[in-house]
This record gives sequence, C-alpha cells and structure tokens, in this order.
Amino acid sequence: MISLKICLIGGSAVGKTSLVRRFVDGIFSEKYLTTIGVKIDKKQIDFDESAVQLLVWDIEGTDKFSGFNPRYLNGAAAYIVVLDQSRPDTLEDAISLYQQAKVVSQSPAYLVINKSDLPSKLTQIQLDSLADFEFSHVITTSAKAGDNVEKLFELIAKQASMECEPNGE
Amino acid sequence: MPNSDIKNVQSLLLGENNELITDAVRKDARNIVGEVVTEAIHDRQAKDGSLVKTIAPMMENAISQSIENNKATFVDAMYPVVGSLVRKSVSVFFNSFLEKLNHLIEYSLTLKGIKWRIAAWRQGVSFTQYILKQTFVYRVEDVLLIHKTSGTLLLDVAAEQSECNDPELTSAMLTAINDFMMDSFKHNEEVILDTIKTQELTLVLANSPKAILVAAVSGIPPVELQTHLQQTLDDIHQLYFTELDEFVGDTAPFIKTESHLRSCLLSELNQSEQEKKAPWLAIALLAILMLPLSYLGFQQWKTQQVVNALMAMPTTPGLHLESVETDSGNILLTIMRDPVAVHTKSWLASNELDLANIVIIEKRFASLAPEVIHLKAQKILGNTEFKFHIEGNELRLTGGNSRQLSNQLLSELNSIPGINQLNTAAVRPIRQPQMSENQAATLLFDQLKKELASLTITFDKQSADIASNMLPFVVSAKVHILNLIQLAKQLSVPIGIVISGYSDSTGNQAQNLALSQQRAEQVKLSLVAEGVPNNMLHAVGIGEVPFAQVEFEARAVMFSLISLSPQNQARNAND
Repeated sequence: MISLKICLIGGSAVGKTSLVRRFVDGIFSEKYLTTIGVKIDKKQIDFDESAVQLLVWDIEGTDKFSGFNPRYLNGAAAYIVVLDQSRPDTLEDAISLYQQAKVVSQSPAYLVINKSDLPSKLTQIQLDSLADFEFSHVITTSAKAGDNVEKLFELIAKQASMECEPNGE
Repeated sequence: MPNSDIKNVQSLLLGENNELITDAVRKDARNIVGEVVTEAIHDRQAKDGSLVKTIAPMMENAISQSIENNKATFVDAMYPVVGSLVRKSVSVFFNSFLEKLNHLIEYSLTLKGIKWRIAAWRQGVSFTQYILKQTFVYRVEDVLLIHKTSGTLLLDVAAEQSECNDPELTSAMLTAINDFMMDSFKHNEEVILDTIKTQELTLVLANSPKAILVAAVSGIPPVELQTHLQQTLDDIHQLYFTELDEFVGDTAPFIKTESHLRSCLLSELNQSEQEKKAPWLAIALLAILMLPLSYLGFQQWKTQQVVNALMAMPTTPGLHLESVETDSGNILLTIMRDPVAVHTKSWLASNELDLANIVIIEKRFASLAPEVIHLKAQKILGNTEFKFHIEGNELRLTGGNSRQLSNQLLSELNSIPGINQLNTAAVRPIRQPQMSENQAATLLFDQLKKELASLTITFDKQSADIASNMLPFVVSAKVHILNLIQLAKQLSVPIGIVISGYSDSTGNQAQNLALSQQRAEQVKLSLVAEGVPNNMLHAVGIGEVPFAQVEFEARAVMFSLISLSPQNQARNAND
C-alpha cells in the first residue's frame, strides 16, 4: 500500500478545509470554521491496479506576516498552495507561503486557484506572474461546486505514487 | 628473463592451457571435493546465508516432483505428523472455545458479571473495555510503527478485542503534535514526547532518528515497557535502515516487522485473575446441557435394545409377530395369535422381556402350524380314551371304541382348521344298540345345525372384505352347510341358510345397514365360489348391533339354518 502525506497551505478563509471536506466527505458547508494548528484527514484513491492512501494535512490559514510551522511539511509527498480568486490579496500570501515552503521541502508544489464559482478579481498580469514560480500544476477549483477537486487529488496521487515505484538500475 | 621465456617455462610445467594441473586435479576431483564438501557448505552458509537461498528453490522443485511421482511414500512419511497436528489443532480449538464460553458465562451470569455491567454503564465505557480494565494490570492494546518525518503509519498490530480505530490518523496526529510542540516552545533541537496520558489510555513512545514506535496501553504501564519498546525499535531501525531512509510512501517492506511489533503486545493479568485454572463454569454448563441429551439417548438405546430383542425372538407356533414400531418411548407390538396358543404376555415374559412400555395389539387368526393343530386335537380328546396321530391333513384315531365316538366329538375334530380327513379305521368297533338310520341322521343334523349357528366371521372396521385369517371359518361353514344339505336330503327336510350381516354402532346408521348387507353378500359369494348351491343361501343385512362393549364381535356375519320341524312338515304336506 502506498501512503502519502499531502499538505495544504494558504491564507485564511481561502477554502483549504472546504477543499478537503469536498474531497474526503463530498460535501460543502457555507459555515466558516477556522482551523487551529492542523487537521488531518485520510482518503483512499483506487487506481486500476493499485490503491493510494492520502493523508491530507490541512494546516491553519496564515498570511505572509505570520508564516506557518514548516515542520508540518516534513515528509510530505506534495503540498498544495491555495488562494482565493475573489480576493487578490490572497495571491500575495500564497506566493509568500510558497517561498517559505520551498526552503524546507523539495516536494512538488501545486497551486490551486479556488472559488471558481465566484467572479475572478485576479488581473491578467497577476496570473502571468505565476509562471515565474515552479509550480508542478496550476489548477482552478471550486470546493462549493466540486469542480476539479477530485481531479486535483487524483493528479497529485498519481504523480507522487510514481515517485514511489521502485526504480531500475 | 624475457616474458616469452617465462611463458615457455609455464607451458612446460603447467601445460598449454594449464591442462597438466587441471587434468591432475580432475582425476582426483571426487575425493578432494568429497573430503571438504560438508565443511565448505557449513562455512558458506555461516558466512552469508546464500546457500539456503540457492538451495530452497531447488528443494521445492525436488519435493513437488517427488510428490508427483510417488505420492504414497510422502503420505506414509507425513502420516504420523499430520495426525498429531490435527489432534493438536483440535485440542487448541476446543480449549479456546471452552475458555471463551467460560468468560461469557462468568461475565454474564454471575454476581460479579452483573456488578461489572453496572459499573461499566456508570462509567460510560463498553462492557468489554471494563472487563479488560478489571482483568489486566496493564495491556498493550495497539502498537504503531510510524515513519518519523512524514508521520505515515508503516504498520500497526492490535491486541484481541482492542478498540483503536484509525491508527493512520493517530500516527499523523502524533507527529503533528510533536511538530506543534517543537514550534510552540521554540525548540530548535528535537522535542521528544515519551508518554501521552488520557483517562483510559497511555501512549508510550520510543524514538529513533527515522521512526517512532508507539504503544497504546490501558492500565498502568510498567517502566520496562518503554525499555522493551526502545530495544524493539532499535532492532527495526538497524534491520530496515535503508527502507526507512528511502521511504516515500510505500509501506509494503514494513509488513515484515510484524513479529517485532507483536513482541510488544505485552500484558499482565490481575493477581485474582491469574489464579483461575480450569474453566469449571463452562464445563459445568456443558455437562448440564449434555445431561438430558444423554438421558434421551440412553432411553432411545434401551428401547432399541428391546426392539432388537423382539425381532430376534424365536417364533412360537400360533403366534405371529406382524410388526414392531416405536412411538415416543413406547413399543407398539402387533401380533397375530391363535386362541389356543400361549398368551402373548407369557410368551414375552418367558423371553425375559420387560413389559413396562410394550403395548400389545392382538389379532385373531387360525394357525395351521402342526403344533397348534395337535394342541387343538389334544384339547378335544384329552378326556377320552382315544389317542391320535396327525399326518398331513389326516387325523387318525386309535384306542377307545366306536361307542365313545360321538357325533359331537367327530364334528369338533372335523372343525379344527387344517384337518380335512378323519380316519377312524383303527377304532375298535362296538355294535351300537339299534338305532334307525333316520334317528342317527337327525342327531347329526341337529349337531351340525348348532355348530353352524356358533360359527362367526368377524370383519375389520368399515370393511366388508373377508380377512385371510377368517378364511378357515368360511371353509368350515362350507363343510357344515354341504353336510347339512346332504343330511336334509336324506331326511327329506327342506332347509335354507340365512346369512346375516351385522355392523357396530359407530357412524351413520344407513351406511351401517348397507355395510352389514355387503358383509353378508360377501360371505355368500365366497360360499357359492366354494361350491355351495346359490339357491340355498339368503344373505341379509341386519344393520347395527348397539353394544359398544362387544364392538369387535358386532362386525360379523352369522349363519342360521331354517328348516321345517316334523309337525310343520306334515302340515305343509296337507296344504
């Protein structure tokens, strides 16, 4: 069995917990609850021949000033940086957190632009600037509508589990 | 010396391709290898264990091939081992079953069990958990091996009936807590948790650079537990260092650490619990359950013994065992008995059978067994001077004299079923005082008439068929009637025979009348078939005989002879 640790980081109220709930339980709630410390969930994804178990670490929302506990990223197979497209300032938080994370983790990073069900307030320049960073993928999602959420985690599971496969000589 | 010279010398000494040396060695190869082969094998195995790996697949092939070729040899070789293996596994199963049953009874039926149930309910824990808490000083419920950096659970083993759900999340959270601690207290170097306590459980942790070993313990964990965990983890760390170091998510290689983890599932029983030895409660319950079963079995066995004895009993003339059935502990014995034969009960008693639960159903029949015929003749001739001898259907009289040979005696002898002929040639003739032929014929006529009137043919319930055991009576009736017709002709007395049918008083009256008519008709038909002239017989159904006490005799057919008395005869002639 492949067991992978995946971390979610991002500014406050960008929808990290909602993404996890949508993925793990298949539900969405309008109610906002702030996460303190870290919340861990698990879900198994079945592929044709194998199964991968994801342990999703939902780390409390932080901004560029406060930072987060980098130890939480230890041993993560991948991490997801989340921003809210209806609040352009969360992009700044995301980039800042990504840069902090990069120092402690060499694992692939995925950028998630969440809340695609709301009108985007990101400018084209902002979007273009993302190309300067080395994200493995940039994906637009909606935890509320469920768009791309499943796909996001499947993509991460598939790529990360490929790393696990025994390499040849 | 130039190189080429050395080569020349080498080829001279060793041969062109060292063949001088290799040939010499080859000649004696068997001896050389033979001397060291055992030691060499031993040394190599000790050095790197590679021998087992090489030989194992070969041995597997050899064994499977050998089994394929000659199964019998293997079966013979394995037989003693398999037998004891099966015995052992059965006894282990039975012991553990008894043990579990004992616990179940002890904790559900006894006063202690009820007390504990109430206590468990008050504390809001499940009964099982409460039992464990009471039974053990401490018990390791779960052991988790966790990859240190990612917090991924590598393997977990749980004790029986343990209630740890989701060890993966527990592992991840433990790591998160550790991370949180380090962050919160601004420790730059590693923070190492070594115990976490809750009301119910204590988590005891052992640390190594790459892994954490956690034991979830209920009760009070002893100090040695931590040491044992640490030692186990050190062993794992040493053996699986590479796998731990290169771990990126695949937990498969760590399945092999299960035995290490299992060694940490320690526990210590409460002093009072340890004293228990044999599972007496379970044994007692089983015994109580078995008691009625074995009683029933014993009763069944006893009944079967009696049935077997009945079936095996030697037959007695005049008694015929028709069927033996068992019905809820009773034995129904259906038997056919000739009236002169020995009584059924005395027959059973003479064979030493207990009559307590034997129900006897007796049916009448006329036996043709020589012994029975002899007995009947003996009964008739017992008080006379006659002796007799029976051969086939013939009864030969000897002794006595012809004066003693009354008509009654003769007809009684004649009516014994199975006797068709009377031979009186050997009876000493004594001139009878003169009696007219007519007088003698009248006497015999009256005698036969009486006898005919006493003949009764009985029937089964609701049946008009003549049972086979009644056939001798029909034959007897025929003989009487034919003789009477003959005598009547001689005496010039007109006669007619009335065959009257009867039924018992149960059921519908009209149907009973019809049934009685059918019975009479049936007997008439049989007599006609036997040669009695039809116009001499008159069948009539009388209907019910309302005597419940003679129910059996009421289902019958009887005969009456109607004739004119001499006075009426004279009047008839005048008419």
